[in-house]
Amino acid sequence: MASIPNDHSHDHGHDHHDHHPTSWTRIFTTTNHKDIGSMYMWFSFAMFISGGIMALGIRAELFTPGLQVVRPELFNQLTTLHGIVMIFGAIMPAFVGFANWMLPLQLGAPDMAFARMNNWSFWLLPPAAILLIGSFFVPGGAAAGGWTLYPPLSVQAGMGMDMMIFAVHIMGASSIMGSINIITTILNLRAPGMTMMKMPMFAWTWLITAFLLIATMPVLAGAVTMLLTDRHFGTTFFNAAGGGDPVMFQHIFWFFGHPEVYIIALPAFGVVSQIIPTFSRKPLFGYASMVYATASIAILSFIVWAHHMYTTGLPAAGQLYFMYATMLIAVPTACKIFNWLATMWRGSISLETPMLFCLGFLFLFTMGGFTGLVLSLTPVDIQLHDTYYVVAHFHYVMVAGALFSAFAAVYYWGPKWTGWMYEEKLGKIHFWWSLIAFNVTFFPQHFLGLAGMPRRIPDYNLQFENWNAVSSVGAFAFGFAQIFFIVIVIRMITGKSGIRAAAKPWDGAEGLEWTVPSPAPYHTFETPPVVK
Amino acid sequence: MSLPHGLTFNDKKVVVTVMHGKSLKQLFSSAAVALFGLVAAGAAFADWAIDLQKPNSAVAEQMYHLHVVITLICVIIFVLVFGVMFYSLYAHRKSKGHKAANFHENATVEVVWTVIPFLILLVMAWPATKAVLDMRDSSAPEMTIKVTGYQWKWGYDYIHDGFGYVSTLATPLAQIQNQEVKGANYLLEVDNPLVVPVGKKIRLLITANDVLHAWWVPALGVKQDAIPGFIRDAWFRADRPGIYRGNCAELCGKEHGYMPIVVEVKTQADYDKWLAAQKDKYGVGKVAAPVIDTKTYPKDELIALGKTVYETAGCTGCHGPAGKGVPGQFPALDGSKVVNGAASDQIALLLNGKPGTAMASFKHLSDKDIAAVIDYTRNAWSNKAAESAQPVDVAKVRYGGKLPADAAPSADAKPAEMAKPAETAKPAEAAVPGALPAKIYFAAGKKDLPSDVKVSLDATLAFLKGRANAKVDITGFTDQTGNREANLELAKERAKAVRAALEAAGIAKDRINMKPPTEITGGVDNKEARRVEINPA
Repeated sequence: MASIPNDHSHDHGHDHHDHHPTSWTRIFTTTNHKDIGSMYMWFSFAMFISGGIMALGIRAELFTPGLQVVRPELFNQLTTLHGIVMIFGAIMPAFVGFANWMLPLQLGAPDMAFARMNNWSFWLLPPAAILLIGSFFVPGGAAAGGWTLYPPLSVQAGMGMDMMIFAVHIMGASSIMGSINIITTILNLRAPGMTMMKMPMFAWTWLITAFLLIATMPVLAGAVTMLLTDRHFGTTFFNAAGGGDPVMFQHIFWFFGHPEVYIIALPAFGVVSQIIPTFSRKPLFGYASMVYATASIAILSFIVWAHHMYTTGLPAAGQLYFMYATMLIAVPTACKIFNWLATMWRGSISLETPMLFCLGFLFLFTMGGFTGLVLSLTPVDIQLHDTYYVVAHFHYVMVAGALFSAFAAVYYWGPKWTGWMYEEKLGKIHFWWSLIAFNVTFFPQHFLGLAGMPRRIPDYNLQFENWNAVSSVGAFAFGFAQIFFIVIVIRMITGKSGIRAAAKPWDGAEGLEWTVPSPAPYHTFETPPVVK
Repeated sequence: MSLPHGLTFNDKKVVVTVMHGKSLKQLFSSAAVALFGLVAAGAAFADWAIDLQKPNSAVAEQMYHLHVVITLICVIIFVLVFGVMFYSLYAHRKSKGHKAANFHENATVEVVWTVIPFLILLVMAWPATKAVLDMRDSSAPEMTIKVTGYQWKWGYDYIHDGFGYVSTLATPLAQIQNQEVKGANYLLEVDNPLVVPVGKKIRLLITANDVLHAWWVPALGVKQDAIPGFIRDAWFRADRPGIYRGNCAELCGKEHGYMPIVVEVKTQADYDKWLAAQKDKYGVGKVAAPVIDTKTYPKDELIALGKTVYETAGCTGCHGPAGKGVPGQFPALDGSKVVNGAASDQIALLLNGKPGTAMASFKHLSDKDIAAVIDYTRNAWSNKAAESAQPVDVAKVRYGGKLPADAAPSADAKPAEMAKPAETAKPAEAAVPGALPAKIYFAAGKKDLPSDVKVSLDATLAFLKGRANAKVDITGFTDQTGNREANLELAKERAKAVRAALEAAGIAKDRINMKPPTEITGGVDNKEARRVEINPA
């Protein structure tokens, strides 16, 4: 294999390019997309566990009426930080990690386009995480105004809020740099012959997601900066007494916030679009329409933001417009579901763990999509806004949409990363355990919301007791399932299954990533492959 | 597009035995029910409720039916789509030797499955649009109430009836802390519910004092954010009398879960009785001297009362039952400089609040309650303050340093009552003849004074003659017919006519204020709406 100019001058035997720095400082200095991809994933998992512990604190308190486990002020901090940590700390970095590992492999590129910036965009995250977690220990505790940070409540809060604002700034900067890197890599480093319309779906969804990130992260940064100056420097952007408007924050926030939902969902769609064809042994149905549907979802996501604000008292015309626009999103989303279904139709299907998680994703995400449709109807949303119905809805979309497909990705690409197969039986247990526990946790929350339980309350009337108890039991079961998951992953890394992964462990898989050995050597595609 | 009620989940009964108490057994039964009995549960068993609350207004009814229809549509599509998927998973399995086909596009099906969802959405959009337009049509209300969200209580102002009160959580702290058995309305009960007549279109003007709140009563189909510095409106017309409960639905800080909303819908006759009692209680339209409680109470009695006030008036929300506050957010009272310093400063703080913080004004409490809670905080925990307060000290601060000259000192003050806004003592005038407000009713479209105007004018003259410094406000109104611009003009002309009559009777110009109305119409019917009101300024 030819080599590009780098530091390995000696012969490295067969096709083993495992020449990499061994010092512990490697984690700070590495510019290798595989190292950075793995670091993103470990960071993500650490945040996932932190956010999960917060969620269990919430569910423990809500197990039964009355105050038992946490005080109301801590409860609000837990709900707030759970949201921020899971979205910015767990889900987004997980998919950036997959992108780092897999995009160069899928596109036939030697690395990400900006390798040093890649290192920097990762290393911005740990300080942000320290600010977030550390804010629990400062006077006044962590931010407690909800992850949406609505003023004036967030203006009232203590210094934990400032730490959160800075953390959001830092994570936003990291996301923007990551996006620039991904866009440049996809547009410039594709192997010869790989036209845009030949790219794997994962690359397409990430390309579109990266544009969404670049468009919305500065908006969020602007919103939290205005919050910061309102808090400390006497501005009144969100204070009516000074000519401002608290609702303006919500408009700005959700102009970021709604595309953010798709920032989380689209890469997940990409993962699913890779895995379903593999295990159906049949090409993806409607590749072109998938690309168009993804792009239209992304565009629509910019014009529906105020459906999060029906109860603020928008004018009737505004409510109607946002209702129609929101309902419209169901069309491209339905197209995607149908495409995946048609991919499976008359395939040769086998149900390994990655496929199971993708089917779980389809099942749960569709449910979340349907409750989204229910919520899109303004009059129904008036009843359900800020209730547990909404909590159930977005967990069906986020946990199913993002987390299940992230699990699918780990099982699917894990053999490529580690060189070992995971243990199929354990993977299946993890799937069924997660699927059942997830539904026990979140399905009853629809009922709680319908019956009238608001979200973000630490205590509730006795009529909500039973479903809350069920939900809490499910939550703890779901939490323990993820401890089981990390055991599976560690056993995979250490080769406990005893089965070495072939270069292409899945017989139905397509794509350049399967042309390199498993585990993927430290340097790959130093000479670009040619795609016919 | 609306379905009859019977088609909903509402009427099904639960087959599962419900167990109370928190045994391990219940946990298993909970989990088991969650897995197998989801659809079996029904609203009949409130504890396992799975549906929206029973609507009690036309708007809530529409919301309810929309939800049923869209849910059914979703369930049908879900079953169809996943039926296909499960068939495929079953039939097209590699393990069954199924060989993969190789098709990967088909323009026709792709167009079909784009168009069909679109058509379904169109069908849904129609009733939803209708519901939105109904929901937002707050015109021509029969009654208007101003709702103010505070951290963490609700204020209700009956703006046309001249009184208002505060509504606070009534659940005892001991229940929340699991020291007492929780009642059926745990966390959904208040001291003073909002009371409205059945069948009347009630318009709510909703705002907030500090942060965002949301006024939500599911059965009435109203959820509207309360936004500080802005007024939003919402409306409802309750179909049946009864008590309807809801919560604040927008995160508003620490005690967000503890500011319920209770609406009591009464028949018109009961409502009228209630209204009369309230007007009496708040002294609306009466000219009475404020009753100043000048009695000196024993310190122990005040401290004992103060503990109850502290725990029920909302103090514990921020400052905690043990007076520790929340470091960095809410100051501790235990060891506080204010609490251990000059009593007059603490009185002023309670009466006026501290702008820009969650410390609201508590001037709706009686002088005695305020004095009591101050004495309580000054002697509770580790506090041993030198100064203490008596009700009369509070009254002094309330009236700006000294007691009003015409106050009627009463050594025998009323017995202590909790958080009774009755004593929102408005410094009124001494009891001399001349009962205001007076109302003068006009003929439709006319601005000429009616023949019976003399009664009202005499009352006003008597009122003004008895009080050297008093002034009056004159406000004109019209009925609902005709265009708004013309009505505004007419209302003004009517007020001017009354002013001219008063001036002709010898009242100085500067004792008459022309006060534009907050709402140009009002009253029970058009006849009553065409009026000029004369109120003490």
